[in-house]
Amino acid sequence: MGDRPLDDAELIERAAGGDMHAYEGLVGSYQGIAHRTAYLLTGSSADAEDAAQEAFVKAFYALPRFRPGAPFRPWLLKIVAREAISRRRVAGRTERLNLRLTEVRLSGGAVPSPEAAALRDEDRRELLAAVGRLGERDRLIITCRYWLDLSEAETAEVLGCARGTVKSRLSRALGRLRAAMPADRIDSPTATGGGPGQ
Amino acid sequence: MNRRPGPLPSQLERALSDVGTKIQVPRAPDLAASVRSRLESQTARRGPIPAPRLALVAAVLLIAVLGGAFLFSSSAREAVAGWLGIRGVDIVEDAPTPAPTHPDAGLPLGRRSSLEEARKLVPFEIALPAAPGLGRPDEVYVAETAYGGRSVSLVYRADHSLPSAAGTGVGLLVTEFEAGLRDDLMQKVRTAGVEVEPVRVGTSSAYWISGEPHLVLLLDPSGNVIEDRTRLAGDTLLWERGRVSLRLESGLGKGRALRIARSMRAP
Repeated sequence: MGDRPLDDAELIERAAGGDMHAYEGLVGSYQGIAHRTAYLLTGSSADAEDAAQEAFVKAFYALPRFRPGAPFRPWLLKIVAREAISRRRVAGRTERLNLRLTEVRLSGGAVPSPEAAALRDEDRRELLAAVGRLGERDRLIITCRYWLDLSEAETAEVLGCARGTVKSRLSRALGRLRAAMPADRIDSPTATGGGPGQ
Repeated sequence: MNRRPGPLPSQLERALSDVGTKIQVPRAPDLAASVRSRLESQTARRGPIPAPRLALVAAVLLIAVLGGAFLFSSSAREAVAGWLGIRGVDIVEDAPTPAPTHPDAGLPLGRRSSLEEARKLVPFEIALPAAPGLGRPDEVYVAETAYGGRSVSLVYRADHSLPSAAGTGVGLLVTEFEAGLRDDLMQKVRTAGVEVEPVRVGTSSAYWISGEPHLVLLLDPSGNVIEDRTRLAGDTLLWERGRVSLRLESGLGKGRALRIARSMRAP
């Protein structure tokens, strides 16, 4: 959970005391994940940059209220996610999110991973588009768990919900995602326990 | 396609992870310089940066409290020193009390919710009183706090065993908010005729505030004080339970308020 706790703890403490140089260190460490989070939630590089920047500014002022010893990453990403989502809202962008896939082709000699073999590019595009059609909350939890690889505890912090409800929320989001997919695309096993959302 | 029910993680979950590695994300800009210049220009406008700023606020509050010290009992004065140590909660003296709110006008507690929904909406376990005659609240509200956290309010209507409280017009109001996140700094503005008494709830320090109704204040993340002018609080017990701060308002008096507080359990 806590990544590089010692370094971060020290930087956070100094930054909370007003040390801007220390805060620049934190910005440097976390700007990649902050920007990626904002981009995955807005689908716009301009919005993502604005949201990440604004989040770092707000986080700086909120640092004195950061719980010492707590993991910094989900605390920061919660602020980033809120900025990203509100930016999209303020801009009145209600159309579905437009994320694109990188154009990577398997070269002839490469051995595809089992996942890659199971999933054709067309399937991937369908899946990505279906996620883009989901509501904000569903997209946020899917983004946290699968695209940012956050743990359940980190996801709970970003969502501002109890840790115990991440599983059920995720299961409902996956149910709605299945419902948003064309029937012949991704197979719909009921293994996650939630079943298709109502 | 295969239709066998795959083991966890499901095929859909694996597909999502796979897609995640292939989404085109533009290169992250270097934000350090822009964040720094934003902070410097804001600091120039808004004054000192966080820690000094908070210390300043705390100092102002402390001066305000000490300025009104003649109104305090000696035990309350001792409590003041410890006060700023209780996370998120302060009591200060301030200008005259505005007119009390009318109970009928409804309490500004946020959005009406259910206990089940509220449990999903707040990132902490909601504690309920286990004292006889209480238990499930009549109404539950969830509010956004000044800095993105959430508070939950449990309302118990007045009846023969629960007198209507002066500040709220309901029998019992319990508000729980996460002070551990430091999103909330809640203060009460003290006015003449308000008694402050340090008490204990279990192992936690607690404060019993009684007498005249007092204002409820919030601090936003930048340290700005936001007055909740919508209502005044009556007799109040304030304490902490883990990282959650609780506020209990009732017309029951100190003894029963403490008994209820001590009975509070998270499921």
